[in-house]
Amino acid sequence: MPGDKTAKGMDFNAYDEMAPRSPDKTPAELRNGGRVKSQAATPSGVYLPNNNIQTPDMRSPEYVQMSTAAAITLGIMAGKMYRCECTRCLNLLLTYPEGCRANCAYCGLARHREADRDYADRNFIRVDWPSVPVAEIIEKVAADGENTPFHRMCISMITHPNSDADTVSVLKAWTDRIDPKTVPVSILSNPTTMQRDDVATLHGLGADIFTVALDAATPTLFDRTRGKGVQSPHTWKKYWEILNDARDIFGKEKFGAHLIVGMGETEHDVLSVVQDLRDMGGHSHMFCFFPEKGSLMDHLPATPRDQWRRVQMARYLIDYCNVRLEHMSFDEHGRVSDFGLPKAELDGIIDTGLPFRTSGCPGKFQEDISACDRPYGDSPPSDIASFPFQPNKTDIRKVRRQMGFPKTVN
Amino acid sequence: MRGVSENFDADVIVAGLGPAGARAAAAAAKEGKRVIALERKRRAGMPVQCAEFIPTMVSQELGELDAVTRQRINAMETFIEGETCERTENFPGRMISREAFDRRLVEDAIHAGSDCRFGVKIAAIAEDGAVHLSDGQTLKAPVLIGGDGPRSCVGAAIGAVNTDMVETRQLTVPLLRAHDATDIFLSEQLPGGYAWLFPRGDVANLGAGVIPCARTVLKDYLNELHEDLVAQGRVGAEVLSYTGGAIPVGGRLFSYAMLGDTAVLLCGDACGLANPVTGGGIASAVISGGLAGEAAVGWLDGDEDSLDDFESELAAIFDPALNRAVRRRCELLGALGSGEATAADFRRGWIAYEEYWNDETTLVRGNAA
Repeated sequence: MPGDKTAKGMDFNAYDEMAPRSPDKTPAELRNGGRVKSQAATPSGVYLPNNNIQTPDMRSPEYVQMSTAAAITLGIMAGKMYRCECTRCLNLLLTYPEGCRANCAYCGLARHREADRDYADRNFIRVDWPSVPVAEIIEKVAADGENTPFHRMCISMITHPNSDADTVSVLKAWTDRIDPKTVPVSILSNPTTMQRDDVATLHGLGADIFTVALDAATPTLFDRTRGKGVQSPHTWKKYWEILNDARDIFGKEKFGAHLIVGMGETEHDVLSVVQDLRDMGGHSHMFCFFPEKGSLMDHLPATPRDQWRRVQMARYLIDYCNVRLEHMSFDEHGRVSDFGLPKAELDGIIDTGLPFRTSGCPGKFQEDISACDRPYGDSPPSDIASFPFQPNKTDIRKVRRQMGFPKTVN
Repeated sequence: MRGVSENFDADVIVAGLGPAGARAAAAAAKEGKRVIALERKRRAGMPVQCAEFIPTMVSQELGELDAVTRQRINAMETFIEGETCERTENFPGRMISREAFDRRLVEDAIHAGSDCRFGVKIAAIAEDGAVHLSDGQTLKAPVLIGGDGPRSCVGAAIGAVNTDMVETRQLTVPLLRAHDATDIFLSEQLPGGYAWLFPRGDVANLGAGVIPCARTVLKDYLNELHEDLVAQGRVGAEVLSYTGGAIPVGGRLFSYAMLGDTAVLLCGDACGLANPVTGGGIASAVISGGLAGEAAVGWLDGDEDSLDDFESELAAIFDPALNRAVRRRCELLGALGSGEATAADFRRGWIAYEEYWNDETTLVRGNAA
């Protein structure tokens, strides 16, 4: 079951056990979107991912992909979501037949999947991403006006030579029709192809928050999962350079970094980054590692729930409760052994459920409730890692069991 | 801490070693609990009484399933009264060997430390929760989990009985043309059910299910459908094997009760978790079995809320889909009973059509980041 203890009975995913597998070689004719480009099928309207039919030749800025949750909320796909009425974040992903040119080991969009399936058919954070004309999306959201269910829109840039320019085009097309005050825009950036001026351009065009998908919590892990270790172009140094630019240009509370927990870092490692981001004035947005089908880490265990809950809790304390890393204690494996607050206070914070919800850019409810609720992006609904809704009492009790943190009885 | 007494034979007794029971046994044993699991059949999964389709979400619960997969399914093709065929893409899943699937889950349970016993029949369950076996032996544990199918003797002991059932009959036939979809046949001749052709490599499962009072139509309907498919060149005339069984279609039952000092929990079909429209029950068995095992551990460790929480979790996960399916099934049965069922009624009553999902406020689809 996802989130179980590891095969060796550990309650955390250790570095030595989390090595990505090697990719298979991709035949030359399938590289760079060869299968799609050779057929050059003209797209027509919405394309629902299907690996068994010809994928049309779709590319940004005319087309983007959107999450299944966004497509359901927008009425583009039929379906209902478990315990969620809708998603509050319209997650858009730039799209090209060549796909993302990076090869991150944990990602379903990675380049090595060229042999397996066309870019628009690949799964990402556990779900399909339909391709939709940008104009159609904007038309639908604009028609809803102030009644839009979305509290935020986010453009995910992916790694592609055109993504800087196309992000600008999509952002412009959006802000031409939709007031950023009604639906603020976040940018999930691709630092590898960006310069400081690019960051400033996006800010000038009305983007509200700028985030960097750091994902790996240490330079070594970064290299192994998304740098040289998997023939991917990203570097830790460049990511932090752009993150610092974002701090300067977007300002406090308006930048942040994604982190994936359980890829082999220690809890102290990831919480050190959380503290660094907080000290810079930004926030961390956390994901629980889930072995994405088709990725180079799809054979590895999901993050044990106790590790994940400890990190979720500690991250919330650092980001929103003025607790610092130095106030916490860690054991010899780098696991949190003390959160640095009296148990009664921790009980109160746990009972709010807020530490265990999805984390990300805020929506319109409150600062510590993310618009980016990504329903079931990092777990199945039977054992939710990041709650896309307010957890109820049963959910909180389950979280407490997973943390081994029974409530104090007065 | 409950269950540490020498007076008990185990911490947890699990009745049934199908997907629900095996997952429950594994989940409890993994946490160090002493588990005895009892299965009436002599071999895991045999004989197979299943159409052998599992949706994609099952592999998200269990990890890699390639070893038990016979082929992938991409779509669903629905025939209404044999006249129209509509293909619905994005109905992904796998056709499995149910025997290999069950065996894998039992191996997981054994690996976790469960004492799995086959060919053991439960004769009775006493008012104090003691389990009397047909060989005269009696076993007692602080927790008894019923993963013993639609006619669960554990469920009967606490008054949780599936009353609405569908009866099924299935042939395995040679598949002459490769196919990537599950085919569904809806007909007024099949009240409360449907017929199916599910491809499994070079063979296919061809079956049908109906409400019990209409069971006499099954043989003739299936023979006729078989002949049609032979005439179309899709399947061979030979029948390789027969099977059949019952599916609970009344929706979820209450999931736990006390028998004396024994906590009794139900999971899978024993708890009525099969989908009343599709009959699919493997995913819910896997999920609910795991949750039952976790709840047992909580209860044994002194967590007084664990049983209520088990009930709440089952309700949260399964009720929206089950309630919708029960409603849709009743609506269609009503239309069929009036003798005026139209294609629109069938569409509203089947999951491949948007009409099935419309006009609802309840929520069912789980994977939607």
